[in-house]
Parts: sequence; structure tokens; C-alpha cells
Amino acid sequence: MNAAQMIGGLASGASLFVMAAGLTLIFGVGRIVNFAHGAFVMVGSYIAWSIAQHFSSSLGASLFGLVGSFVVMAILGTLVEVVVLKPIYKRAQLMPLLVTFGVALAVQDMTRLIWGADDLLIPADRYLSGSIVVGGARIPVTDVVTISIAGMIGSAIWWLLHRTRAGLLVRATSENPETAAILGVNQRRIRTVVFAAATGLAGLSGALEVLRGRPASLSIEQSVLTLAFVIVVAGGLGSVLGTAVAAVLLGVLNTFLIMHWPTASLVLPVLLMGTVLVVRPQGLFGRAIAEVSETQSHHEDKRGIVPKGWRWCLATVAGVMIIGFASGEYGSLLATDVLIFGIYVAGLDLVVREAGVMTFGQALYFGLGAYGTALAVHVFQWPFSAAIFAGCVLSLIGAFTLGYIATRRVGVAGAMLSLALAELIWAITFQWNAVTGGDNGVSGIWPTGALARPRPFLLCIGIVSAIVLGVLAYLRGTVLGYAFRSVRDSSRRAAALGIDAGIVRWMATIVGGLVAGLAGTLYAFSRGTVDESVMAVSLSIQGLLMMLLGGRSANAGPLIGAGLLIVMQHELSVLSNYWHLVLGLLVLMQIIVMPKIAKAFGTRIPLRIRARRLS
Amino acid sequence: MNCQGHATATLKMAFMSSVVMFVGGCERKTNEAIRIGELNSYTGPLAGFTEPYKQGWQLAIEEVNTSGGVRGGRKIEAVSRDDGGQPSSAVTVARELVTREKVVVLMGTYLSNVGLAVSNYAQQAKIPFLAAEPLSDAMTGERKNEFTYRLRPNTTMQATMLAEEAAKLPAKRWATVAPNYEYGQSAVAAFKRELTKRRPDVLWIGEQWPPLFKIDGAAVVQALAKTKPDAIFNVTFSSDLAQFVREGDRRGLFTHTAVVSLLSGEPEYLNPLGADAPRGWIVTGYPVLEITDSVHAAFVQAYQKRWNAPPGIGALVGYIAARSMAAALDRAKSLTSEDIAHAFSELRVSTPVGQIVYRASDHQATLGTFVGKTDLRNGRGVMIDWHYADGALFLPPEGKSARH
Repeated sequence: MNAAQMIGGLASGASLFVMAAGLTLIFGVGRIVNFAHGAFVMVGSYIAWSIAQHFSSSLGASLFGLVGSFVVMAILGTLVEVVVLKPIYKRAQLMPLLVTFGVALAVQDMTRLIWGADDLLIPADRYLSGSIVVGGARIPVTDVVTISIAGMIGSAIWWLLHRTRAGLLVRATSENPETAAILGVNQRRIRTVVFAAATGLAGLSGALEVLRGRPASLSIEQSVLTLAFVIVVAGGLGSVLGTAVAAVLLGVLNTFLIMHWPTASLVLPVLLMGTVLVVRPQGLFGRAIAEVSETQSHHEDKRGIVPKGWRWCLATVAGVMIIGFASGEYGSLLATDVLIFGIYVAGLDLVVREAGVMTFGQALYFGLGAYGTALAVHVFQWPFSAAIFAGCVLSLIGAFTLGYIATRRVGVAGAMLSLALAELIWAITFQWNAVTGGDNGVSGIWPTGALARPRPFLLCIGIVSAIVLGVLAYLRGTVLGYAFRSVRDSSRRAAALGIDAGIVRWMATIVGGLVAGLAGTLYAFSRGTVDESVMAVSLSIQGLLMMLLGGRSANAGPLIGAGLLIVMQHELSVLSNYWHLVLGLLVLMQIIVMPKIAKAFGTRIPLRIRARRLS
Repeated sequence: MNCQGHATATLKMAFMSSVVMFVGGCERKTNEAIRIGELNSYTGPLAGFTEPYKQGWQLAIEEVNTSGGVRGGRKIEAVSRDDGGQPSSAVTVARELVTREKVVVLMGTYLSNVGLAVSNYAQQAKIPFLAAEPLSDAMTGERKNEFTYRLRPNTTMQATMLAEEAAKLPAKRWATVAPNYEYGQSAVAAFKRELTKRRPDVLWIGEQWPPLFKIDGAAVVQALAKTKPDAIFNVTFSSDLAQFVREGDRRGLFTHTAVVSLLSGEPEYLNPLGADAPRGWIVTGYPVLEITDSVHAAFVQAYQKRWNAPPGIGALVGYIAARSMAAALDRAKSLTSEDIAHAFSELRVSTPVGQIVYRASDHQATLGTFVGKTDLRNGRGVMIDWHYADGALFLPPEGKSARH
């Protein structure tokens, strides 16, 4: 690797650092995984493009572009934090995650509304497009500028954090929020300021990309998010130095590796993160993360024993089936989807809410089930039930092996590890053309005979889901169910009773994985084609969203949540091409406003009525 | 569950049931118009290409309806949906169009994997499907079926057109760069095969496979430069292409290297580059403003008048797809699925770029594309020295590819 390549790799790493720094700051202070980060970077790039239109010189465009993006995005960040995040800090751990996901959806469509769908490039005379020749090597000016800017930002962050009082307060909040609060640190203000600054930084990184000559494009959001997560987690959540090291490592490694292994870029980020997590779970420079469950499990996470739940289960399943049958062919198809995803979410609910295992990788088992079925039909021509069995077996094997690895770590580290594993298997599936068909997938997975019609298929799925949900309800009342809950509530106390938290979490993952796999097998038959999107991380997030939308009930919740999201998505996409925006807003409304309405109807109004009766 | 939990759950169930009952119970009015189900990726990063595509087919349908409709005066009505850019959501949408909207045909999709999934669904549901944009060879190859027809010249056809031109170059050492998914892989495989056929002396000295939309331009350009190629075959497009071009320029990759590039001459990819457009690249594309043919000029005029912008390749494809649909509906013996699907076989359609035929053997249309060189004029990229490559010349003879 020669000098120009080295500098190119460093510049790549430098821009990755600026991009990821904001995410790690937010996590450090608020313990929030910000799913809107990619969207913020994207908006920053569009803002820089707009600003650059007003300047005829590259210096002016660059300067004002960077500063302007930072300022505008910081304002936007403040708005988001105050309006959307503040109300839900006290609620369950997953809420901020889903709320930021809703924000991301809304921002994506708003960007398209404002700037249109085309890629926007700054003309060459408006950015520093020249190159300097140093000893025979051509080094672009922007590489040097990027490294300098990243260096300046890194130093500024360090200086602010370590040499100012405000920085001291931020670090205190980051290290131990409770103690800091006791000592009188104003947590709310710190969180708002840090979120605003981090969002500004995200915008600035988007601007930096544009001023390096990249186009402002809607595709930035997806490509940035996973990369930012990987860097932040590998470097250590909350550690700016770790982010810098991980970013530079990734940039340089990528530049070097693709010379000998051209397809490396697809798997490298995930491999890096996975390796770091397995060896050093807190990341390269992260602080050792204590087990999260003790102090952080909120009221909403705790759910007591749910006896007699299976009646609710059956009622909801029957309800969905009846609505489906009554609504014609299309309604039956919709009801089938709701039931399939109801099964998927029920499994997820068991893992996340009963056993307290945070996971972003549930779609992995769903996908394994789907692929197992697809290959059984496509390669061996197995019939319906045999193929379902094959899919379940594959997902069981996956949950057994991969689930073991994923549950070696807890809390957010565990969640990130599950994400890394899911991404890794996804990448393998994507590349392994010969077996999985690559991104074209496997086709021709249709049920035959009586099940080929929508209504009989719905009946079949209905029976399966009633059985599965009933079994899960029963499981919750058994000794295993108690073990799950005890590990969720306090693994130390459980250990004192002789319950091995690691094993129990692993078993929860296996059960949840099998259930997800079963849902996947049914999904394959409902769509006819299985492709890599069945194990994409977005499906895991959708599952979490459905789980949360469904409410606290373990029995009816999964079906309600699945139903809500599926129906919303269907109807909204018919109404408008900007339906992501509407969906995002609805999700936000659901999570923030609905509980208040429900509280009013469920608690306050009955209380008032009762008070009036008494007086 | 406490009161609050019950209240929330009940609220949600009520909301959901009411929507589903409304949704399912809605009667779709059946009037005289023939309903076409149209689905494409209208949200997300592809919207830049599919919005003009939509304008193209809307223009065609308007023209058909004002000039008397089909089948003795019946109008065509298109029900358009976003397919979500993924195979599973596309199948969901296709199902809705067929079962709820009661369309008689399906049309559209953009990405190959989406097109293949919908094609598979079309076979299962026995509904005719015209795949307009997808390029995968499999669609008219190993995954072809009775109900699916495809309009655009596929990956192998275009790669062959370029291989013909590439064979004329003195270059011996070739490197390739393509996005790492099926389209990129097929394009490179086809180009390698066809060029080696014509020039057995060619050496393949390097290849790069950046992930789609995630290219690290600097790294890729430097890795390619290290192999010191005489020529490069490029398959990257959209934002990847923009970064590849800029990084390549900055590091001098293209100064002594010929470049053959797939699809880069299309206005959708060339225009965003502005004054950075590469010069002297051999490309397939669409020199829309240079074509002097009167029929084409009429199309450009009509489109410009309707939408206040010149058409790109997306608009042309959308226009031709809708025209083909109208022609098939007219020609069909009846409006059953089998008859409409049969009507596509050996269907001849007049388009702004000449007459095309939908082959009976593999269901591939003989639509071709334009091959030429890129150049910079008035601060914009254009195609020069171009000619129209008829698709029929780049397809295997009908006898050979017939499967049954």
C-alpha cells in the first residue's frame, strides 16, 4: 500500500469518525440507540448542497456548508429531543429506539418532499476538487482537508469534555446518571444539549461528504446507519477515542483488503464488530458495562405472572380469523399475514419481555425458517408439512448455535452482538448465490392442493397460531417461565437460587428462535419467494415495533401489534407515496400520545366517575 | 392487566377491526374501464428513476384513451402502487391489486429480485405480468413462465452490445468494477464471456465489488489503479457511479485507460454528473435530445408538453410498456388471463424508437438500446457517435432458446 492509498484510507476513516462521533455521544449520555442517525447525516448533506448553490467559490461553499449544516441540524436535534424524546425517557428501554425509528421514517420522506428524489451533486468548482502531487503520488486536496477537519473536531470534543466544566458534567452523567442526578446535575439540559450537538455533528459529517464530492442522495440513510453502529459498538459505546480508533481501523483495513479480497467491503464492518464484541464485549475503549437489568428495568418491562392468558389468546386469534373470512379474499390474505407476524412477535415477546434478552437479531431465525422451507421445496420437492418441519429444524439449529453466542453478552452489548450475527448471516446468504440464489432468492414456494386458496390457508394458519400462542401462554406459567422472569428481574438473585442466567437466556433464545422460524416457514408459503430481506435487520426492528404497538399484554399484544402495523402499512401505502412520513408520525403518536389518552380513559375518567359517585 | 392496559388494548382492537372491515368490505366499482395493476418502487432511493417512468406510462394511457381506447371504445385505467423495493412487499402489493382491485394484468417493477418475485406470483395467480425495467437474465431464462413478458433489453444483451464495441479497442488488460449483487455479477460474467469470445487474447487482471450504494470510491479506484489496466468495464450506477467518476478523475485513473460502462449514457445517470461527466467512455444509454427521427421527436414533444421536462430512459420505458399493454388488450380474444397472456406472444408494438416484437420463445421484447461514446458539451454529459442497437440482433435465435 503506497502513501496515497494510506492517506486515502485515513481520510476514509476520518470521515467515518465524524459520522459516528455523534452517535456515541448520544449513547454515552442518554443510553439511547439513535436510529435516526443515518437520516440526520443525509439531511446534513442536502443542506450543504443547498448552501453551496449560493456560493461561487469552493472555499465559501465549504465553510458555510459545514457551519450551516451543523447549526441547522443542531436546531433540528433540539426540536426532536424536546418534543419526541423527553416524554419517553422514563419508559421502557426500547421506546427511544422505536421513537427514533419513527423519526427516521418521517425525515426520509420529508427530505424527498423538499429536495426531490434525484441525487444532487455539487459542481466541481464549488468544492476543493484539486489534487496535490507529492513525490509522484496524486493526493486529493479533500483527503488532506478531511483529515484536518476530523482532527480538529476530535480535539474540540476532547477539549470540551475534559477541560470544561460542562464537559465534566457530561462525563459524570455518562458514567453514572443516578449519582450525577443526586449531586444536582441537571440531566434534562445535558441530554438536550448533547443530543443537539450530536445531531449537529451528524449533519456536519453529511456536509463533509458532499464537500468531498459525494452526491446528496436518499441512499445515504441506509448506508450510514449500519456503518455508524458498527464503529460505535466496536470502539466502545460512549467512548469518543474508541470511535476514532475503530473508524480509522475500518477505513484503512477496507482500503487495504479490497486489493486482495474485492468482496470484503460487504462483510468487513460486521466481522470487525463481531470479533471485537466476542473478545472484548465493551468495545475497544469502552468502560466495562455492568449488568443492565438491575436498575434499568422500568415499570413497563416488568410483567407479572399471566395466568388464564390462553383464553385471551384464542379470542384474539379467532377474532382475526373471523374478520379475515368476512372481508373477502383480500381480507383473508391480510388476516393470514397478521397471524403469521403475530406468531413471530409472540416469540420475540418471550425473549425480550419475559426473559429480558434485548435482541436486534430475531429476524435471523425468521429468515432461517423461511430459507429452510424454501430450499426443502425447491431442491428436494418436499410437500408442505415436511418443508415446514425442515424450516423449523434449520431455525432451531440456528438458535441453538448462534443463540448461544449472542447470549454470551447482556444488555446493549448483547443486542449489538445479535445484530452483528444477524448481519453476518445475512451477508453470507446474500453472497452465496449457488445455494440461496443471492439477492434473487428462491421462488416457487407455493402451497398445493386445498391450501392453495386463501381461506383454507387462513384456517390452517389460524389453527397453527392458536396452538403456538397457547403453548407459549402455558410456558409462561411453568417453571421455565418463572426462570425467565427471575433472570429478567434480577440475575444475581436468580444466581443465588441456583439459576444460571446465561443458560436460561440461551433457552429463551432457542424457544423464541424456533417460534420465529415457524413464522418464517409460513411466511415463505404466503409469498412464494424467499430472498435475503427475510433476515434483514429491518424485519427485526419491525418485530420490536409491533411488539411495542401491541401493548403490554403477552397474549393479545403480539396479534394486536402485528395487526396495527400491517394494516397501517397497507392502507397508508395506497393513499400516498409519502406513506413513510405518515407511518413515522403515526408511530410517534402511538407511542407518545396514545398512552396518555388511554390513561385518561382507563384511569382518570373512571376515578372521576367513582369520586363523583361517592360524593 | 390493569384498567389502562385494558383500555389501550380495546382501543387498538377497535381501531384495527374497523379499518380491516372497511378495507375488506369496500366494493370496488366495476365500470367500463379495463383496470391495469401497476407497481413500482416509488419510495426510497429509486424514486428518481421511477417518477419519470410513471409520467411515461401516464402519458401513454392518456393518449390511448383520447384516441378511442381499446376493444371498441373501452378506456384503460391504471391502479398504481408502491412496491416497497423488496420482493415480499411487492408480492403483497400484487396480491392486493389482483384480489381487491380486481385488475386484469400487472405491469412494472424495477429491481430484478422484485421483478422475479412478482413474476413467480403471476405464474401462481395466473395473471399476465409485463416486467418493464428488470434486467435479470433469469426472468426470460431459467425462471421464465407462461404469464410473464419482459420489455427492457436484459443484462446479457447489453453486455454483448458493449463487448462488440470493446473488441475494437486495442486494450488487452481488462479490469472490472461492479456492485456486489446479482445484476453486477451477471453483467460482468456476460461481458467477460462475450469479449473473450471475440478477443481470446484479452486478460482479466482485476475486479472490484463495492457493495451497492456503499462504494468507498477512493479505495476502489486505488485498488484498480494498482493493477494497471488498459481498460475498465464499469457496472456501477447512480451515486456509486458519481463517486467512482470523481475519485477516478482526481487520481488520474482514466487518463490512459479506456472505459466501457453499462447504462451510463442514460440521462438519469449522466445528467446528475453535470460538468463532471466523463469523456470518451463507451456506454449504452439514451441520447434523447439528439435523435432526429420524426416519430421520436413527436414523443419528446408530447412528453415535454405534458410534463415540462425532457424524457429520460425511464419515461421511454414506461411509455412503451403502457403502449404494449394497450396493444395486447386490443389484440386479445377475450379478457381472460390466458388470452391476454397469449396476446403478448409475437405482439408487435410501434414505439418511438422503432417497432418491437415480444418473442414467443422466451417472452423477451426486442427493444434495444443506444450505444455510443460520452462527451462533454455545454457543461453537460452527452452521447456522441451513437447508433441504435436492435435487441433482436443480440438475442439467440428463437429456435435455440425455446424451452418446450
